[in-house]
Amino acid sequence: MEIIDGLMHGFSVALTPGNILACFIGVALGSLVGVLPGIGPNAGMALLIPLTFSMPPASAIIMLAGIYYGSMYGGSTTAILLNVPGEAGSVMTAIDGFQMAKKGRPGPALAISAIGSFVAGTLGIMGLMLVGSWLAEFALRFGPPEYFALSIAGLIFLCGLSSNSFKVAMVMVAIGLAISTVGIDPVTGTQRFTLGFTGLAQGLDMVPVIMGLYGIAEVLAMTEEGVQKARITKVRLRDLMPSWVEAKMSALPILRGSVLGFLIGLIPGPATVMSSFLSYRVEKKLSRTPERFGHGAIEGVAGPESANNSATAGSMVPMFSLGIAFSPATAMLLAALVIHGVQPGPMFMISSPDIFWGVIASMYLGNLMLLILNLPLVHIFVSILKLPQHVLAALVVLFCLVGAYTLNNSLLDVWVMVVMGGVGYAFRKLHIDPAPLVIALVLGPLIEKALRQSLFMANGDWTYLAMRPVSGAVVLAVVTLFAVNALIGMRRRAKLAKFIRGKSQQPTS
Amino acid sequence: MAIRIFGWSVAALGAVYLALALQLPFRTLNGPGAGFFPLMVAGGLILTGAACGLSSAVTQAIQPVSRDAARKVIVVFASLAGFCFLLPRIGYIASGALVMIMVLRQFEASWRLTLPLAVASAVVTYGIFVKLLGLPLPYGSWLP
Repeated sequence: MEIIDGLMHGFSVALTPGNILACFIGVALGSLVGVLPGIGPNAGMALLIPLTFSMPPASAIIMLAGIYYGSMYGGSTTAILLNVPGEAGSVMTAIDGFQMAKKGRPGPALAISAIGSFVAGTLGIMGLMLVGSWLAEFALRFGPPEYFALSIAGLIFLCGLSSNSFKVAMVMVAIGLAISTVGIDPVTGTQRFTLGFTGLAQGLDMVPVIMGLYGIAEVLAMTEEGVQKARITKVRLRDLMPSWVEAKMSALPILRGSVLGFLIGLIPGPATVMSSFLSYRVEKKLSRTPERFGHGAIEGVAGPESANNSATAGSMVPMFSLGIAFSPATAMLLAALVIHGVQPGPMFMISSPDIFWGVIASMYLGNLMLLILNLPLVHIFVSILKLPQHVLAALVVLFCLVGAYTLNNSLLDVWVMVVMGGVGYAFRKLHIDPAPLVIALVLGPLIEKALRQSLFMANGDWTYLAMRPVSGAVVLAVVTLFAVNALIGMRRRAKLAKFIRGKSQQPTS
Repeated sequence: MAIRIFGWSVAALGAVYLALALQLPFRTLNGPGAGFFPLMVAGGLILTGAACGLSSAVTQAIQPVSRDAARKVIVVFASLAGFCFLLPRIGYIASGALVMIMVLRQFEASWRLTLPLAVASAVVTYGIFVKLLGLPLPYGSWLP
């Protein structure tokens, strides 16, 4: 009953003209960001944070959340039509989606992808409502040891699931934690690692770091690689209708993808990418004709597209209910909330019901808008690809520069962004994913504060962290995960060694 | 090889970080001091960096960059740094237009497109941020 009341309140917030407009701008920009290869939701949200300064907090978060889930819709358009995923979550969609386009069926692929995204987005929001409110109530019992254990476990999970090797991901986490310690110590007020620069006393803001690592690094990579003009397949409105067989074949993958995506969204890590990958594997495994996959199977479009959309809702659960961000995109939402003076966490639903329920209600509205934008109006987004990419790259640079400056009216933020842009470009060259660094930077202050408070509570006794029920369970889960991982690794190495031995003993003809 | 160099660079950075962290108080009467967490992080930097440096795992090869492409990347990066230097001196519109020119030229855009686009985008963004949103941008200390 409380949930229905909350949702009704949310709709009264979301359906004001200002918030409808904010939602529309958010989802339209999200689709745009998704359509344009390179500029992902993280850079898109970072670019637009300064524009939300003069907005009420609810409108600002409604708009930024719209960019996040809207980008998942847009990402599939280029994946299907050009074989170029607009963002990482659409990589799996490109496999069968592009094959369908090559066979003259781009319309049904786009339609199933948009319908799947709509269904999954709507189911994901229901999950966010139910799980989010339950988790927030449960988290009221959490103390510093629980927050410490959860954050550390999140970082370890993230390292295990990141596209980097575990060692490299751990290095990135260490770098992120080191950056988070720059500035005034929150407990004692001592200046740390400021090297005499008074501007550094406030610490390094997360937004310029993300703008640099994602936005500027992308432009530097585009400068190196050059820009190519896209060859676009024309899609007419009447071609969008899927056949009855295609619709029937897509129904179950959409439902399975929605559930799988939401559950994976709850786990720290690249949820949108992982969920679409797993959904594709599941659909292929369950199919009676797995040989069709890779050659234009509609289930290969329906499942992954649904999964990456519901994953965005799932990843918002820990951010809203615990105040912990486990992905760069939710970290941006967290930063935006903090900039607007709102602190997410277990009390968020009670202290800021307008924002919590307003954002949830706006997501229902946003999904409906996205369905319209990505079905009858898909050709508008496709034609955006005709825009010269170098003009867009230059404009991204200018928006990043002015946006970084206006965050705190500080030139230091612009320098930080430029330096991180160079660092991000170097990471790209080394094939290193910067996500663990960003998450560690966000979680660093929380981890430090929680650890110091826990040790203070326990008079310096470290075992206290493992003795409390929730933190103990989290520690146990991490240890089990490590053990299982090590066992799997050992078995794999043993198999490989056996295979190599077998090969070397084979007689050569 | 590049990942190994990266690992050892991080470990070296960790050593510098450790030296700075050691100057901070480790404990206070109220519990762990300002240097407590940084010391753990320093350990993490050195250990993970060294583990990466000693790693024998095969990693993806780095795509070689042509001399021309490298020059373009350096020019764009330098123009961003130049923007930081010029912003408080010549103001946002001039420095914004300059950085746009530099970036667009690296993409081999024609002067006919570059000049009007650079000036227009600097003026429009100034209008959005300063006039519409009321956010201050530097006027320029070198300007009258």
